[in-house]
Parts: sequence; C-alpha cells; structure tokens
Amino acid sequence: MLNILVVDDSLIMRRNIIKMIESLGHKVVGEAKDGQEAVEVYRKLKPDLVTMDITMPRMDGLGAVKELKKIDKNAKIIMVTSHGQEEMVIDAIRSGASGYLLKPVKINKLSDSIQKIFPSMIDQTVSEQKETTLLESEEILLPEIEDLA
Amino acid sequence: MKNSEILKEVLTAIVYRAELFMTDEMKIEAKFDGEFRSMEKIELKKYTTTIGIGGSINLLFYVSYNELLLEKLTRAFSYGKIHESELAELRESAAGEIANMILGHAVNDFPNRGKGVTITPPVTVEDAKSILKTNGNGIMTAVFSTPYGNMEFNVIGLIKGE
Repeated sequence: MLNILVVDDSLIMRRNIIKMIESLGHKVVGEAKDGQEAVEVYRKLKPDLVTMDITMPRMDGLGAVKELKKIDKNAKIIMVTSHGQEEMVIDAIRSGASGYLLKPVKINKLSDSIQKIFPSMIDQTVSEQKETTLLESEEILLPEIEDLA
Repeated sequence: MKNSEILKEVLTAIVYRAELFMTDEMKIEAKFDGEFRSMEKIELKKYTTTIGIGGSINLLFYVSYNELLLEKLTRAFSYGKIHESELAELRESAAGEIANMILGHAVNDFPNRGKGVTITPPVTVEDAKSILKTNGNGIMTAVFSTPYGNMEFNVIGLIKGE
C-alpha cells in the first residue's frame, strides 16, 4: 500500500483521483490545491507518490515538481493534466516527473502508471480481478491421456 | 493570419474536442449546428467558466452551460456516486474542469500547433446574467445542443486593424 498526495486545484478532480486511489487499495495521506501547498504538505508527510496537476494558481505543477525534487531527489510524481502538448510532457519529465497522465483520468491508466513506478506493487483491483477470474472460471478438466501403447 | 481567422481556427479546434468529449467521455449526444457566429455581445448563462489563453495567442475563452446540462455532466464526470449534498460544490468545479479539459486538448490543434500557448486556471461564475460588451474585440460563438440544454463556447480577442 502506498501513501499518496493528490494535488489539483479542481475539487472534482481531487475527489475523483482520491476515490480511484482508494479503490486501488492505496492511502491518500493528503491533498493540496496548488503547487506551493503541495510543497508544504510534502515536507510534512513525505508521501511515497504524488499526483500533480500542471495548471494551478500560485505555483504551477512544473514549478512544484522542481521544488519537490530539491527536497527529495527520489520523489515520485505523476503529472495529471489536461494539457496534451508534447512540449508540456517533455518539460514535466525534464523537471523530474516519473509519469504523465492525460485527463480525464481513468482508473486503469492510473493503476498502470503506479505499477510502472512501483513494479512490485500489486494493487487491490489487479488482485481482486485475479480472484474473480479464478472464482468464475469453469472447472478445469484435465485432458484424458490417450493410451498410445 | 488575421485575428478573425485565428478566432475561427481556435474555436474550430475547441468544437472538435468538445464533440469528442461529450460523446466519447460523457456519453451525451451533443450537436453543433455548424455555425461560427461573430457577435457584438454575449448573454451569459447561469454557469459560466472563463479561461485565459496566453503566450503566443491572446484570447479569452468562455463556456456557458445550462443548469440541467451541467448537472448531467457533473454526474457523468464524477467517479462513483455523488451525494446530493456534494452536488452544488461539485457542479461549479465540474464546469471549470470540463472547460479546462476541452481547451487543454484543443491547444494541439491551434495555429502553429499551439506552440508557446499557455492557459490559466479556470474561473467559474454562477448566475452571471450580465451582458459582456466588447470594445474593439471580436467575439466568436459556437452553440451545442443536447437533450439537457445548450452549452456555448465563446472566444474573445482583439480584432483591431482588420
């Protein structure tokens, strides 16, 4: 289970991402509405992962990523933004982001991004899907071995 | 490129992304009537979101929503069920986020592929019944109709010298 900080100036986006994270079996330890607040909260909570919007008041997501990397060079950050421009993606990665998600966020894409950064993590959805598959699968019949003799 | 041409190109990109967003993501049938209207003034609906487009292009972007349509969009956009007590707060936030998303995706299709274009965080105003007058600015409007009411996209920019 990961401790995650969610940063977005939009209430509905924070709410959606928090609910997705929780349904993936991780814990949201904090939220922030802009880059400056994100830096302050990060210092206090030291989360395992941050989801970071780009376009925000006071300090944007790119500025916040740079600041977080000064605090902790190993900080793991997924940019979550509506800005689909290639130059924006490149800027984000250069600033130190570990991943990039285009809004609207889908739970499977969020899960994939987390898995790429934390390969050893198996989220709740994945394990539940496996369990369901096992429960739903029909009885496995071993093929009869023909007597070739 | 003339300012009026820039307005039309920007609004064309926005309309294209809005159609995709409404049908693919929100599963709401939205019809654009195909007309880009040059306006002298616009009457804002109950919920209006403003986003500034800066950098290599300097425009204002306004999205106006009918109340029922915005409620449907809020419910469609929310992950999981929403409590009625949350609706009012989420509705305002959804108005801003939807406008932000449509514009963010459209930037790639702006003139010069949107290079150097920046967008400000959205600001949503409720009960904005004022008439927006312009002084030397051009307004171009595109209207979408849905089973739950209309939404209007407006871009506003300087057209002096044309």
